[in-house]
Amino acid sequence: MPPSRPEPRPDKARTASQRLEKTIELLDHRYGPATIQTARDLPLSVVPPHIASGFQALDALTGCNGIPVGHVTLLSGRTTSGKLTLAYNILAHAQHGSRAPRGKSALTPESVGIFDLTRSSDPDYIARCGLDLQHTLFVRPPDPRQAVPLLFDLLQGYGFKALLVDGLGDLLKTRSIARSFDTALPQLARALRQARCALICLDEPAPPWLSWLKLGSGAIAHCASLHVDIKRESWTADSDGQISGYTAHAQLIKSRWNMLGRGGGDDSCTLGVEVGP
Amino acid sequence: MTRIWPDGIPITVTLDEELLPMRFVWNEAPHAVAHIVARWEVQTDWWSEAGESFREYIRLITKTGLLCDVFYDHLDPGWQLARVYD
Amino acid sequence: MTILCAHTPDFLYRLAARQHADWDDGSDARERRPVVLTGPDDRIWAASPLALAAGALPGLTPRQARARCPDAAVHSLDTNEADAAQAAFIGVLARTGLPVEPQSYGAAYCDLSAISRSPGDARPVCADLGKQIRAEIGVALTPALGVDHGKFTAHAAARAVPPGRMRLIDRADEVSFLSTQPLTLLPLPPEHVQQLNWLGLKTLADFARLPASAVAARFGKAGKLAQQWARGADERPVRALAQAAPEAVTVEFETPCASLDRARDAIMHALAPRLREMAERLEGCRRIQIELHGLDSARAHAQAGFAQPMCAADDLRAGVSRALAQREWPGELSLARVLLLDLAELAPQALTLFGETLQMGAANASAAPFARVLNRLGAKHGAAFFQGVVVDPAHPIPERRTEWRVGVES
Repeated sequence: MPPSRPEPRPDKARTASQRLEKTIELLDHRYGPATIQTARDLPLSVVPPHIASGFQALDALTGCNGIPVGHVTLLSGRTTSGKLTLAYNILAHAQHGSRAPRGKSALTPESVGIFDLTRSSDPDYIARCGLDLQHTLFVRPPDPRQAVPLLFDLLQGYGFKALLVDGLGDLLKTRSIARSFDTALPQLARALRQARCALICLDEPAPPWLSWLKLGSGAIAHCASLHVDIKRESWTADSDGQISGYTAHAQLIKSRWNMLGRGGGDDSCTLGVEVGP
Repeated sequence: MTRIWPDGIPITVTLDEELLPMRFVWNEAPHAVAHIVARWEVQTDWWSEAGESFREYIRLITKTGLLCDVFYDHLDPGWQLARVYD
Repeated sequence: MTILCAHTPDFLYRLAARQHADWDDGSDARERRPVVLTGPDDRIWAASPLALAAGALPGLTPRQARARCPDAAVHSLDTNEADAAQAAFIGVLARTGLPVEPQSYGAAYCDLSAISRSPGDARPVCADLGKQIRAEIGVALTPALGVDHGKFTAHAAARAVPPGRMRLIDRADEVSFLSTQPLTLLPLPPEHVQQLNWLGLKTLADFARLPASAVAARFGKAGKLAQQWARGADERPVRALAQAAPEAVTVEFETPCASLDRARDAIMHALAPRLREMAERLEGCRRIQIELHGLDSARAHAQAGFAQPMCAADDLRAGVSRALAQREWPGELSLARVLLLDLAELAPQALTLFGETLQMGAANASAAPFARVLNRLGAKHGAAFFQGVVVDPAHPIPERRTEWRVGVES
């Protein structure tokens, strides 16, 4: 006959929340009211160093007035969603700070880097987005295996304000690279904090028939402090009826600084994207 | 904002009766054309080292949501994907 | 022409290491310690294989070397011993009575044309010379030998074989031999080698294939000459020691000169055209000698030596300063006479030297992160870094509006 379990003590029988309430009561009694608060009751956390995105609605949405410096930001969306436009706008603001990117300034722009793993960057368009090409380094590793070590190396004291990985699918080309990248993510997070550099990763969902092949972006989504998913919403036309751009819908998937649903606030906004010449 | 391929990406294009792209395959994915946004022709650089170009460009939207430019190269006949907006 | 190039790799280090069995060569790997040897200019003149592998290269200051190789032990090089060994090395070749042209320590050309019509004929003579050099200066300093119709290919051949071996190149095989050799054999200025490296050009064949006009436009006369060498066209004769009478550069001071800085600047100004010519010929000098004339006819001599042939004004200026500072001045100067001695081919540049040689001007300091990235990471990761430049923003074809450039806009 198996031994009978001992009866739980009355205090153990309480629920976790009851115990927490009790503890808070005790602390309040001993040290005064509001000594300890639940995360829900905390005021919005201190805004971390950040880079404006160029879209005020999105900056308000993220909870950190833009994208956080020293953290990973994940921008996901299909081609023609507008994620690349958003990323270039962020880089332009990283270079020029709060000054208007397209305005002239006597101050030297910050340096930014673009991991052009798709080898399809268009410097003409990038310049039109307000980036100073003299201070924009394009990295095109000849061998995909070099990309991750290069990313780590660039965070070792070269003073980059922001790095853009375009895109994750090309960074994590094989299972072994993806595995080693996932393992190195905690180190990457530390390196970003030390380097005071923002890392923006672009991710594109694989088409359904290739989704089984999808490599490794799960870990970075977990590691990212901010994740925004972008979808094209509607086309915009000029006065002649010609398509001149589109609006994109930015959905906040995750933000360390905006606990979704807490205040009942918005978790999405609309961005405008111009097609240009 | 745009992705651009300096050498173009050869694509397989199916034309309609007006000889406009109706469907093409890029990245192993079929893209049916939903709307032709613009058409223009470029004949230039016959004097330069980069070499003469004679291309017919078409900006189009696909049913998969892509906004992109494709061109037909008259000098080296074939369709190429020139750039994709993002 | 039939030209022999005799070359002992790491001559200075091997020479010094003979007295120090505990240095890293050949001892138990766990006990090895990298070693660097400094010359009279307080720069690294030689380094052990471990130190070289860590990037502690000749030309760096000990501090720079330690930054790259923290475990490196720094020792002073015995330059008297080095000069004696070099003299013995050259002496063996000179005893043949054939024209001999010394290069860096442990390297020299010898013109064998008088005794052999083709590299193939020269085999017994070369073997004999190699044995004599080994007998004269020791097994540790055994040279590698290369023979060809031209100096550069002979030089490449000597570096393609280990010490104690020889490589003779027939004219028919010149192009195929050169084509696989590394681009870094060419003694181009480091920034040029760097640019070529970023372009993904690795071999002499890669460089030889470039359009000559483009090379001349981009890299000047030195680049044009280097490309000719890479194509196997090198008509330079061996300059016999006796013919190499140096031409003095005279600096007359309009007013008596009592300032080292003024004297140095005047000397450097006078040397500038000569240094430019040397750079265009891919040549440098290993020694600089200065004769100082005082107002009262008193004279003094000063000199400075370098580990490798130099033609860069900054390096020479440091040498001139050093030489002038070491000497008692004969009162106020009325005149200085300068001799650039021991002219030889510039040494090929090691890629990791770029960090120190690519100097950023103040105007370009804002681009420093890119320069640092390129300098420090380039050798590690290869041709991975680019800058986009908008060259024709109104071009109707989008991809022709921009260019990709390697390196940093200066």
